Amino acid sequence: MTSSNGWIRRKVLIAGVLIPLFVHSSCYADDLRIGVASNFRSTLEQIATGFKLAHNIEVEVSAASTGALFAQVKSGAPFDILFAADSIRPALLESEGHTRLRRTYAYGQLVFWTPGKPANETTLKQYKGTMAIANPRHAPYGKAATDTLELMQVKSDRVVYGTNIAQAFNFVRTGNAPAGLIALSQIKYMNVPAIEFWVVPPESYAPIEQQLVVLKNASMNAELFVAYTFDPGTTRLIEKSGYLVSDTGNQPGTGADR
Amino acid sequence: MSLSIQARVIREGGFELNVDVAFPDREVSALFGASGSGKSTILRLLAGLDHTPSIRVSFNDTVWQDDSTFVPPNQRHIGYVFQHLNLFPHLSVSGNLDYAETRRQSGGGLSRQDLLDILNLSSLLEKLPRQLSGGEQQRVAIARALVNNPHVILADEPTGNLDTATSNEIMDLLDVLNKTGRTIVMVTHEPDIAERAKTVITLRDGLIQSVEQNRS
Amino acid sequence: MTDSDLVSLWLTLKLAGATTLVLIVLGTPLAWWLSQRSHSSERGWLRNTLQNIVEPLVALPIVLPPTVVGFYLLLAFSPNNLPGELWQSATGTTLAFSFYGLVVGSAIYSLPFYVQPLQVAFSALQRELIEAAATLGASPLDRFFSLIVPLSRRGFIIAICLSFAHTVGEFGIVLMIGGNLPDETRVLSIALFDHVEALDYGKAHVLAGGLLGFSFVTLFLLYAVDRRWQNGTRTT
Repeated sequence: MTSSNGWIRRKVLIAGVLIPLFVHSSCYADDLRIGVASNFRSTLEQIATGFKLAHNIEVEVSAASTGALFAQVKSGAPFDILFAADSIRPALLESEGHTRLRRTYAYGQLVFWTPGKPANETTLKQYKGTMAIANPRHAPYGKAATDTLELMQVKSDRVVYGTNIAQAFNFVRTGNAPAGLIALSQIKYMNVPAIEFWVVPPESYAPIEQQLVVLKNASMNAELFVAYTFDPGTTRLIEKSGYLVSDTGNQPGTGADR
Repeated sequence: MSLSIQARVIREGGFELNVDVAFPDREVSALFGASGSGKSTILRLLAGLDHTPSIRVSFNDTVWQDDSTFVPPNQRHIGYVFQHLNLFPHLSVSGNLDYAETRRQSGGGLSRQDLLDILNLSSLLEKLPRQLSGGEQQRVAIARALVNNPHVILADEPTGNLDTATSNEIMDLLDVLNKTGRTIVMVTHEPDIAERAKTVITLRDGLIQSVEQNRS
Repeated sequence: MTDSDLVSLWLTLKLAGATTLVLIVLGTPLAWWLSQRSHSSERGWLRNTLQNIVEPLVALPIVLPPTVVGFYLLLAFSPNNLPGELWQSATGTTLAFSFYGLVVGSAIYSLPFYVQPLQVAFSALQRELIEAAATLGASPLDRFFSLIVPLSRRGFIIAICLSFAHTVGEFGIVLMIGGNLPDETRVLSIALFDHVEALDYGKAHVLAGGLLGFSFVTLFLLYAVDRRWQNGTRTT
């Protein structure tokens, strides 16, 4: 090997390593990075598995509270899609110019749960003991719960707040609160016997709208994933997990403001 | 009538102490020997400072310790002069003496003022221990141990920190106290101090070597 | 500060005060017991072994995430389990979501902050001083109050201040077992968290700044008083 060949070879090697680093990779990256609110995580992981099989694209899922995800995105976290548990944070992200798409993917459903005892409209209206709900000030299920309590005129002894719906659920599960207004998705996930819970009619509270956003610089595969999410097979999966799916598809931000 | 102890113990460091001795009541006795011979240990056992099982201590008719009983030090009517100074640092000289006086009183013996005079402490009453010299602290410690007139006085090297003149004064003080009916046991390694006692018990390596009586 | 934040402030101070009182009563004998090590190898064997187990137990809350403590407490407090059941039959209410439950949780969580400085102070005491007091006729309880406490003053001050300040800052445990009741369990750290979650940053700043300022001033004063002490009295 002459020295001139060696020199060329080295240059090619260097170029081969450095150039791809400088090419903006967003449009060429295959992997999708998705942030999901904790209470939707198990459902989303199932959706992701289906998507991977159908399209042979890798999906990386990170779960956290909507608030934490919101803060991370604002600080530049490299998510492609965010599945939030409410519609406020997605709307904020949109108004601040971080997103290129915002859509409702599910509506949460509230249930009244009394472990070990039968639950129905009558027992809710007559309930006097401690009631666990999510914090109405910042958790969507919490506001729905207070709406319901007011509508049904429930005179419970004491209403305790969990920081989020998961904590409210845990208060009831451990027996510290004999009853709670929690998410249908949690009930289904934990296989709670049907007699112990009652699905509160959705018209009793302002809709618990859960929205996704596709971030501005997301991979081009993001829209593919969104389309997959609204595929009939996927919407059936979401409903089975305990949510309602709007059939109005593409409209941004339906539902009441808080 | 006596202050007696029967003890067979392993001391720290593995040395055995094996003694059966009676200190005559109302007399001055000396425990004499080299350091490490066990004399301080005996004094501590007499006071109940080390709660060691399987020893017997009694004072006249009262059992202070045996297999089923243990009378704690605060219930034995003793005055203990420690080898190393331990005046209460947060109290003045006067406060230290008050501490003793408010916790026990028995008649006879010397009054507080007597003790202050003999030990020359009147000018030091408001001082804190850290403001006193070694010798002054020693004298205060002695005063504190004696001020509530205990029946038994146990003194561990009472003249340790003191010059000859003061040492003699302390020994004179002990003689005076003895004449008022106190039983005194003192630990010393100095022969001339030991000589002033009525009974001298010599210890060596944890065993009693001799018991001698001096002319009183 | 809003009215509800003022209530939170009062709750926080009440909780810190109650917890510190509990720790003084329960933690002082514990600190004393841990500080007394038997030197004789045969006689003190059982006691030394117990102490060797209890000491790291006491230190656990320093390294454990509060969520772990809170997690187990929530289970323990549940009426389905023994401790919670006992409490419920005695008082008719649950320990969770109550001020008393918070006191229990805080006492456990702040325990090492009380016990450790006090234990150090107790171990530094000269045994001969205590022996002298005994020979002068002082019973064990008497010796404790007339001698040990005055001589350990510095340790007490540090222990009380640290456990008080630590409880003021407590969050994780209250979050797990408090239930965020405005008049009973919504302490300042929870109120702060609430404001942040609700994106109410103005109110959050007030509380966060206040807590930071309080903590700093407490520690500053503690160090200053301690320095003055060290210079003024060279006792222990």
